[in-house]
Amino acid sequence: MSGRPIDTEGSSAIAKWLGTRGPSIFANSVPGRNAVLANLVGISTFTALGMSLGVVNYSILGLAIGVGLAIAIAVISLTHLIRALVGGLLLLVALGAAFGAPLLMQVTAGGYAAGVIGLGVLVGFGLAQFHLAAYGDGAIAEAMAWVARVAIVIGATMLVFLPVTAEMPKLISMTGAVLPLELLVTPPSMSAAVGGFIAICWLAFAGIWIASTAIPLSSMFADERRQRFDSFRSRVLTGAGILLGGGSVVVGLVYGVSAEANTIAGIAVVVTGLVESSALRIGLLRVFVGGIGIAIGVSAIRRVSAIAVGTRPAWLPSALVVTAAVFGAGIFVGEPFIRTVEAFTGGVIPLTTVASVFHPTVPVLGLAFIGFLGVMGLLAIFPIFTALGILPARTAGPRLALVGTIGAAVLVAHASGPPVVVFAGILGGIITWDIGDYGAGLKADIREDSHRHRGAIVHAASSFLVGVGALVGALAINWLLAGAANSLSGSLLSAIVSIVALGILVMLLR
Amino acid sequence: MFDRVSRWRIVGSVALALVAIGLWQTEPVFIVGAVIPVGFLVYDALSSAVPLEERLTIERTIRPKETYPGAVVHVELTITNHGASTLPDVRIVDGVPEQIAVVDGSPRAGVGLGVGDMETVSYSVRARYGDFEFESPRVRSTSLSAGSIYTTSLEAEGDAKFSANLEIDEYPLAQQTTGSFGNVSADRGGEGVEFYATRDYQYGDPANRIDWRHFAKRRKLTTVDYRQEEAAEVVVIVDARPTAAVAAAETAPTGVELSVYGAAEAIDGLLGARNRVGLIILGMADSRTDMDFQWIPPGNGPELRSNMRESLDRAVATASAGDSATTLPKTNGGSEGAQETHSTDDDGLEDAHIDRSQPLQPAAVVERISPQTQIVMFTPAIDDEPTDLVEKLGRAGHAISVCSPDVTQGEGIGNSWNRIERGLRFARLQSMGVTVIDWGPDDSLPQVLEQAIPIQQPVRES
Repeated sequence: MSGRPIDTEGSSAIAKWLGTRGPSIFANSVPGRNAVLANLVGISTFTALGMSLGVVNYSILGLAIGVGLAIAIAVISLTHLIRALVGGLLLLVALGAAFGAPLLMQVTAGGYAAGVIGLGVLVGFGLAQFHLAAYGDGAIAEAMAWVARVAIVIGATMLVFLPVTAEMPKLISMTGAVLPLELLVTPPSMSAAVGGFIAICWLAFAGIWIASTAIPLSSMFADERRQRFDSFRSRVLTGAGILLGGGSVVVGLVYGVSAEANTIAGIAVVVTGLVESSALRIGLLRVFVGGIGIAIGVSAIRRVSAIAVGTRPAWLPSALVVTAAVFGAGIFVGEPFIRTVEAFTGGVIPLTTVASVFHPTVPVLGLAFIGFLGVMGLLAIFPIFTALGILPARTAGPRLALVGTIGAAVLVAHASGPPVVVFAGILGGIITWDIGDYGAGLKADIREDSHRHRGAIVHAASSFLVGVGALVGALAINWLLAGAANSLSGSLLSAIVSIVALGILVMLLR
Repeated sequence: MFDRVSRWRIVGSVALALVAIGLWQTEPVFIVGAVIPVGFLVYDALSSAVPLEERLTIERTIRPKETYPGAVVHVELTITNHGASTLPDVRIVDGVPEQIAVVDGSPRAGVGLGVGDMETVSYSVRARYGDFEFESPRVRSTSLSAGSIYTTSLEAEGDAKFSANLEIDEYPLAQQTTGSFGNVSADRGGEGVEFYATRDYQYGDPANRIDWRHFAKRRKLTTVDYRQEEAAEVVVIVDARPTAAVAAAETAPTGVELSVYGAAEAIDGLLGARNRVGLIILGMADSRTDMDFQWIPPGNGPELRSNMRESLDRAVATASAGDSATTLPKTNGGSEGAQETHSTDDDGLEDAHIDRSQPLQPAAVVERISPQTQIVMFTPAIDDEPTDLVEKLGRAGHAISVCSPDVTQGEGIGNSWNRIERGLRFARLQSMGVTVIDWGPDDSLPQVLEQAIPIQQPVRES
């Protein structure tokens, strides 16, 4: 008989409400001793390579960004209000730095700084993954989900904010060919004025009704208050219907009669003011478009999570904070930001035109939305690599560290650095990978990292000895080749190189 | 079985990439650099895992080999390298029965063994009701480069089984009830040893019970009544409802298993002391009597003992089948949520099925038990229904003891809340004068029963 865990049987709503203890950000995919050893070798090798290139600061920066990225992804996967916020913000900063810093360095510093930062991110992320739950077990998917949700909240905010800030006359004239809204706002005749006024009042009422239906306000109230709220909402809607629907017809009739009789006096003055007021019509049109925007925004958020509106999912506060930050940035530095982006992109995106019709916050929110989708796309690379077997979940960390370190060694060689540093870099990368990969296999087999295991030390020591032998061999060959290059012809040298390459191929394919 | 893993392939890719870059850049240092990964590939090709059958011996020790459900059993694996070479990386996983939970240590280990070296791996498991046999440990050796592995199962010497069906030697009731006139004292006058009361002489009273001193003083014949010693009549109630088939963890013994185990031992002790014992199994409908519980009226004798054992076995088996075959209610209230009736005919349990749809019917239980009968109930007390039943039985004048295995000792808020609720139920029972014994996972059953069964006879005037 397999017993059901009683914890899952908790009958009490309080027990369910309180939830269970959150998981840890530590996965320790590589047992402690192996992880420490691999980290030491990896960090010292990469730093030495950076030093050889004269960009040691950037190598440390790259490592730090990689570690930060791993921490962010590990933290964001914890279902918790504060952790989602901290992890989310850290993720944005880390990803921004991971891609922004190399770009910035390429533009400003030049040389190998950009490459070293980029490779440092790989090494830092890979080494941190030995300890942190930053890869595999849905960690990347959780991070992507957070980014997608925040993007949708930002997009929904933009949709709501769009009609509120729109310069309606400009918008109407711009969209005149598609939507004949000008007839509604500035009617050419008296009959068009009456008809347009009634139509725009009804549209405003439709906007209010749609928005009130879309927003699940009643779900925010307890059962006993819900009924009262529903009846209140019903009364408000009825009042708005009478005012906008019935009232507009009455006002239209009074306006028509007074205009026919050519007697503008008393109440007719007020009615004429109402019917002919362009500002009122634009306001009512804003209400209609705003209602539609709210409905679309709320629907988009509800698509993300059925419980997103009216309750507090763990990610929602972080999404609201990020959206508020973007919104604030749009208000205070929207215009200069738009100018900078437009200058950077060479005016491909007509942001200034958009900002002239709407508030500058709208294009800023739009850019943030697109940026978040881009971040999601970047994160999506990892699952694709995992599916292709390039970065298996269990050994992704060691592989990333290997690629980063070998890449740095290649940069050193490209910069005509000392061959001994290049070879040591290659050796360091392989030993880091070997110890990490071995540890991951050990963890998969025996799970515990606390149990004494001399095998790990023996394996590391033997790899180190083999590596030192290979390093000495490589140096010897390099020295011989340097001497032989003067006496051997280019074709003979090519033949030797071809034989070496063939040997490697045979070994791989055996 | 030998196997070669492709972990070094990525290093081969590094070598190829370096050669390719070298050719592209016409820079020999890249090509020479490829010598390092090639060196590792050669190292991998030359190293190989070794077979373990002739080199390793494994001995398993299990202590104790016989125990009771819920007890902790310690296991030790001693691995010795009898070969002529060092085994730098040996990984071992003991074949723990899958129903058993490891509560301390780990049955998995990675060790390095020099020639003649010995390593011991210790861990503990939590016993469940039944007999359990360990499978052979799986052992793996790897080459120095970890590119070659050899995996096999090695037969462990020593212990391979343990049993959680221990018969209790010293059962507390053995001293309390003996003979057809047991030494459980009834609060009733009659023949016996201890003075109970005097009464007017009635024709036919034995002469040796006449109070002659009283006659000498008052010249009136009176008869002495002694406190009767008689066999007790006890009904053991076992909570085997699906609601009680919960455990602290997936592999921990369930409330039903522990209750059944406790009841089986209590029944053996009571019958052994020649008391009249009846049995009620809640949650197990009886198709013959059309009741929602199994009812075996009080009696004694080997046949009754056998019947009761069979019923208890069926209770565990049926709860086990139901546990795996159906989705059990999400709430602890057995009456909440419709649940399917699970026929157990396929198992040869033609008379019993788990009744998952009916709530407990205390009135039917109370009706079956005669008023002077003592009650011992085994329940994990995970919902209110057993408490309600005890309350009704108490109102009917029964002396009641409740022995409750604790299945709420796991971690988590849900368990904490269940512990609180269970504690409140205990307080309610104690306020009714019920003896409540909380049977923790580390408490021995004999001690628990000793506390649970000093049964008080209900007061009854003769």
